[in-house]
Amino acid sequence: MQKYVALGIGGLTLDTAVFRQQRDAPNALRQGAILVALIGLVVGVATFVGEMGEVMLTRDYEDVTQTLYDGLITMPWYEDLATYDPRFPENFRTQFTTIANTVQLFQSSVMGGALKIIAIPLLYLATWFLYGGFAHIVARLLGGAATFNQTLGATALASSAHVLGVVQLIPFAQLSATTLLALIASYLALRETHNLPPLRTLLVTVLGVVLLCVLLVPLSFGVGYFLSPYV
Amino acid sequence: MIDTLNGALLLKRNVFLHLRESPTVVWRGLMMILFVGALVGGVHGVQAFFATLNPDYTYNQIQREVETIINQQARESTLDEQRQILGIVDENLDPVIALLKRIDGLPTPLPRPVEAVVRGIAVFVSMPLQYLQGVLIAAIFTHLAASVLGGKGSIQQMIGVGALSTAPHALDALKFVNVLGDLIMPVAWAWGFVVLVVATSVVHRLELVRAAIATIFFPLLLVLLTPLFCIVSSLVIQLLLAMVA
Repeated sequence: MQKYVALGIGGLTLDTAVFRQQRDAPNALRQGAILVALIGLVVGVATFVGEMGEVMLTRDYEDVTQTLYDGLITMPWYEDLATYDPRFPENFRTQFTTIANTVQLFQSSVMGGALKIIAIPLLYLATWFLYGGFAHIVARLLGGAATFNQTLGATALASSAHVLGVVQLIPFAQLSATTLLALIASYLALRETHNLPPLRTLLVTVLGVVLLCVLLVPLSFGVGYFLSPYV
Repeated sequence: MIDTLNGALLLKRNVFLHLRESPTVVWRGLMMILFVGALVGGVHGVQAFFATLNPDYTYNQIQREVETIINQQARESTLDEQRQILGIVDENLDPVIALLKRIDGLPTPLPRPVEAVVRGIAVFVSMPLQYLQGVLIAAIFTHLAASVLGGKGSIQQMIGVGALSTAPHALDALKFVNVLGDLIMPVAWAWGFVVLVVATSVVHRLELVRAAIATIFFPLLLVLLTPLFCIVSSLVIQLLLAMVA
């Protein structure tokens, strides 16, 4: 465990020596996978605890939407529009219900929080594997010299940035900076493994993200749509 | 930490040089961000605690601010349509504030004092991350521009030494003081900018003028490109609408 804590701190503080050490490790891929899964698990548990807190401190969603609707339809602007257009109240109700149902999908829930303990490590592992794979292909096309294991082993250290996500243990805490820090760490990992010039390394880092987004954005919408009735 | 903070505020070059050569430059930079973030977050957290305990005060303050803006806009407006919109906003302001108070007053499973404490802690822990985000954005773009201008520093040094630019933002802790708050923001920002220029100069071994150009290059580009982007996108929208029609 101590080894993984050291790797995590090395990745988080962008320590080049740790990136090189990981590149040259004989079992870089396995170590990387364990590190990413551990970070995912820690963040997943923290997120679950935070979401439970939010559920205990948040007003009932049905009550909020009902109070909001009752308040809106007694306002002067609503009355003016209802007088001007007799179909307005019906249209407004339909629109309001649609928006309220959509927003409900993003509300904290016990089930959703519990799911994240498993979903976050899996998501981190999938993202690391896909990003590392894409970045490796692009790097090799641009003249990179590292093996697949070396690329994956080093880019796993970039996941260390996600450890900042433990702040989500506190309900309502706002998470930021992790993506940027992970990108910088990925740049260093690719530079140390593939020995490419800075501009090419930057290109590999960015193209890896672009390819990942092209694949993940439609996929996440699809999964979200599929899971929404159960969460 | 306090010595480094003082050195950054007083632009002491040896503090910047010492940090640049440190093998734990990123770690020390992160500690500086954590220190300033915790200081500002602590004060803002206490403020959030009292705001949650006393929501009426917060909503009344919002109402007063919106009323001031409406009055100001009404005095300056020249078009009838503009006055009409301001009239609608003014007419609906009281019911909107009353509705917000009603929603805020709905019960939660845990009592309000618990919510107040948790919201205060949330602000406290979130603030260092917000500063870190700002430092990373500034460091990445400044590093890119400095490298093009012949800079020799590494991204780690840029992040670690660039983190010193958060030192003047310790002033943000005083933002809650009514009149002082508006004055502090630009002062902290300008002071932070100067610290970042010195940091870039030290990290990349550039003259101050070049370092200033590297620091300002991408923000300036953004400012110049934004109107161009707006013009191009409005032209595209008009073209699409014409095609649909």
